[in-house]
Amino acid sequence: MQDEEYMRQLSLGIDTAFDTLVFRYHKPLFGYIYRLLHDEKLAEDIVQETLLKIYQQGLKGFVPDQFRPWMYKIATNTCKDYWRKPTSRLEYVTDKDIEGTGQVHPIIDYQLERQWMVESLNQLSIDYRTVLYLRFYQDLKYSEIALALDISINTVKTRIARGLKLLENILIADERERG
Amino acid sequence: MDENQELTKLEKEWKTHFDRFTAPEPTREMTLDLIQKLKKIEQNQSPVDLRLELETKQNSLSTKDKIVNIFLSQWNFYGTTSWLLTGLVMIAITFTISENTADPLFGFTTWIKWITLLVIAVIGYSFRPKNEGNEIIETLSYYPIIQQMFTRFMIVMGFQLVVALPLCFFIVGRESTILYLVSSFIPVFFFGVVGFVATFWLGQKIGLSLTLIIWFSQVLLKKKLLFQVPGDDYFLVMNMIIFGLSILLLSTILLKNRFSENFK
Repeated sequence: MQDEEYMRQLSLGIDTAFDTLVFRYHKPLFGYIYRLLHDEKLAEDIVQETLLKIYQQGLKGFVPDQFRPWMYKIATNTCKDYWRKPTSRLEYVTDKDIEGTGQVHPIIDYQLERQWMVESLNQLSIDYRTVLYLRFYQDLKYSEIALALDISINTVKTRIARGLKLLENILIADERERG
Repeated sequence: MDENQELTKLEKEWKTHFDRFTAPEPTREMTLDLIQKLKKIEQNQSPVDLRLELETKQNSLSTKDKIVNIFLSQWNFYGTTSWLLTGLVMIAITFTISENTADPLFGFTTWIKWITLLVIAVIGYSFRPKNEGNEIIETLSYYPIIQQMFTRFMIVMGFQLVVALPLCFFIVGRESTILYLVSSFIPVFFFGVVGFVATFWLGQKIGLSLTLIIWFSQVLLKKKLLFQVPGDDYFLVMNMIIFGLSILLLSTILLKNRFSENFK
């Protein structure tokens, strides 16, 4: 059954429909938020907050046209709310920060590629990271990413292309450092 | 190879790299616990109508507080730096022109052209769609969209006029008179109004394009129409017409508001 149908059932008071949605999306949602925040405990809290909002909206009778982009929109916005808090400002990496730091982390061998990937992605601004994560880990279509992030499909494509290009530059810089 | 194919190829190349960034996965038990927790939280929360609560809070505020709050929400939402930057650009334009033109009248005409283009750019910038989190969206949901747009328009225009008026003295120097003030204020106001009204009726892209077409037509026209300076034959008449037209355009917003109310 489609996600939207489960939301419709929830809006009609069938509470178990929500359980199915949580079982379906707990893992991917946790993965998405964890990759953005790099903190398991915090990711759990944000997942809970996101799903609670979805549950409350469903109980109020709201049924989104497309569930997945809507869910990721709430999740991304909840992360943004977290970043807007003064205590979490350091987490909010911008493009200027990337240019300024110029930090490179040498790859010692293939096994360290995960670490390299995490650190390289972390050097990208949040706008690039959200688009790349939604595309590569959440398997969203361009149109769904556009809906989730309130941007045009062309912007989605541009951000993916530029984000990958930035990662490539980081890779080249790393190789130079090693060579 | 077209852009889409290139992007698909690029994504394929990076797929394995991305697969390396694994994330921990919650267990089935954790999911069950989460469901229990969410339902418990929902049951314990008093069944209040959030919208009603927001509206009650708004109604308890004085008119002055309401106005201050809507200005603050728009100012914060679009970021202080974005507004202040426009002032800096305006100052830069003024200095560049004043340093490079000997004739104050010619300098003034050039200055007003660039300043009005800047106004159009700022209008476009401040009416761009944005999404900055759930909390700010909830705060903004207090206000009807028409009020929010008009507030942003007032911020843009107020800010631009406050900066532009003293700068016009800098350009024309000793020649400064009240007439120069009028000829700075009216084109800035006119392009601000056209940008805002066109965005309001036709959306950001079409509205902004239309405003830019009007601006370029004035710059490219050999005969001066909108950018009149004191001493030109039709200076006062043209400025009165432009000002009247601006007010008429602004009043169409009220018209749209009334139509939508009647429709409801």
